[in-house]
Amino acid sequence: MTGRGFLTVQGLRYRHGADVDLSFPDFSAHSGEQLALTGPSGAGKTTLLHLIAGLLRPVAGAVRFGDTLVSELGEAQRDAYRARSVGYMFQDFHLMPGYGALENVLLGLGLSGMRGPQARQRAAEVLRDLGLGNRLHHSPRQLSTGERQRVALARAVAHRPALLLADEPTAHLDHDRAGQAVTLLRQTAADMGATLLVVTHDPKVMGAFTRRIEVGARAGSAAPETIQPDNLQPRLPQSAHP
Amino acid sequence: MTLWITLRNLRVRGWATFLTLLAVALATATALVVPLVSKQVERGAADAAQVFDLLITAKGSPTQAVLSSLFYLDVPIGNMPYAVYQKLASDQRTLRAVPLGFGDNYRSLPVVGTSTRFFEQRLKPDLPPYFRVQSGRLFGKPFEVVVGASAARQVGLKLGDTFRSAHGLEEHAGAETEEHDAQYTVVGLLAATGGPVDRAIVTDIQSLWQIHGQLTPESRGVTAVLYTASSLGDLYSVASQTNASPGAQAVFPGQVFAGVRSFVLQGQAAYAALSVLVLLLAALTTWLSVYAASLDRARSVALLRALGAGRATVFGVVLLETALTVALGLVLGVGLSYLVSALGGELLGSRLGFSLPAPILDWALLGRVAALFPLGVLAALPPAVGAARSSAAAQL
Repeated sequence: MTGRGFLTVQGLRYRHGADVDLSFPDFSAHSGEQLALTGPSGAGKTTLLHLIAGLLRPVAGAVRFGDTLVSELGEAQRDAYRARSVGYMFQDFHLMPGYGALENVLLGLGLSGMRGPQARQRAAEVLRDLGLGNRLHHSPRQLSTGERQRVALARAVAHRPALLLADEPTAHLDHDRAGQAVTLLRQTAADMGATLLVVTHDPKVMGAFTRRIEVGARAGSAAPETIQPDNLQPRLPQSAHP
Repeated sequence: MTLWITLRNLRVRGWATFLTLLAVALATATALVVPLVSKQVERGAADAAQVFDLLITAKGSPTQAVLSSLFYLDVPIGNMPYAVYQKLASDQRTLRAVPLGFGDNYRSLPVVGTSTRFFEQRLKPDLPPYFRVQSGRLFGKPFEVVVGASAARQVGLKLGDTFRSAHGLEEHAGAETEEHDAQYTVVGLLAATGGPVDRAIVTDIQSLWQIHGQLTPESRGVTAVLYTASSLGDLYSVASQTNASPGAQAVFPGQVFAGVRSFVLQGQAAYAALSVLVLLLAALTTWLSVYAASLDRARSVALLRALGAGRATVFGVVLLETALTVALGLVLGVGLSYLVSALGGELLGSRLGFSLPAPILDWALLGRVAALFPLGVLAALPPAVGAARSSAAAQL
């Protein structure tokens, strides 16, 4: 099965220097599906996200997203793929220091190709939807950890990516806020109809996902999975990038 | 998008941007100010000496002759007998001989005695007279004066005002002034020339003779004669004849200027070397600033790359940040140098007694500082290449 939003990871292997040689389980996710990537520290969860985002190239195997064979793209094409089709939430948020919340979102939008008044309107809209309407011009230093995380989410989703990747999104949040954050992340992805992959080793976050992929298990084989029923329904399915 | 990111990055690193900009601006201004002011002075001074051919004074230092008789900045060498002037004035080879007499001042402004022929002098034969009356008229009899533009402004003399002059070339603070009884009346105000006459009070030389009791031709003295010959041949023959005489010397002001200029140029050469050092220091500051910023920048660059910015974009951002800072610093520096030259020129002018003309920035001067731009941008090249080659995954 291929098509928009369909992700396939197959026979993926990444090597860096003499010490790093990682193999990843095969798995696929259909459009709009939400998965948790779990596994012990050092298993290569973040590296797997980087490979899927096209930030790294594998030495073997393939990452395919929709009709795009990401692992075979040239660098400029991977940049364009990342800018338009991928939304990435980093573990440390990585907001641009000194940029206001609105500017951080505008940065992502601008790189995806949306600029001018339309971009400003869209950035403000997403921030307001995430409860940051009165924080548009606050710099990261003026925001709480939870607010920073929501700005990072706004930046990741403002251009309506078909694939949303989140690396330990609750690492800096307390227990209660972590739950709220995961719900917000999943709901936002569902609203857009984006495929969501979340790296986590937080049991509470894992518990929120019906499908979990264990990274760091036997390489080149189908991934060990846990599948549970999922009650999350999209509120407003929409995605700009076919 | 590159410019959008660049402008925000400059804002984020506002303090470092400001310091770099200031370093470049100050270096630029330092490199420009002295040449600009020197040229102002040269322009103001040179014109005043071009309205005649020869300066004839008592024997002594030619530099002192020029400084005292043309710029009123030194004590005159001494007076020549009136006969020397009379002989020159009646010589067949003479087109114009203008007597000058000094010795009095009014509130430190020199009272210059001369004849109305002083006001016939021109830069070129087809140009109007160089010294012109702006309002009022020329003096027509002894004790009438016309006042230079700066002088009138400085002491507030207006048409119809009267004053008494004091003996000596300037007033000494605390010292008792020896004021003459005779009273001068202002009948004209001169247009500004940018030269030393701007701060002079000009009167008929007979005023000075009368004040000092030099009532007979034998007792009269003339401090200098501004001499213009009918032809070039006549000029050299009068010059050599004067120099051969026991009581007078002929000075070509251009030769004195050339001597002074070569002396000044030595100072300027030292200054130019200093300017180069300052420019290099500014370049170094830019380099340091760029490298300091590149340490902070590694994460931002990685983030940009992770968000989909291409290598060309991050390369452009780093390069443009420096190029904009240096370019803005240069523009500010040029503006600053103009401002400082104009103010400095005015201050120096008031010390020298001139109204110096506005500074003129020429391409040669601008070219000197423009060299800083490629130097600055060159500083940004290694970090820009580094940014373009960096791995986003390694930083995030």
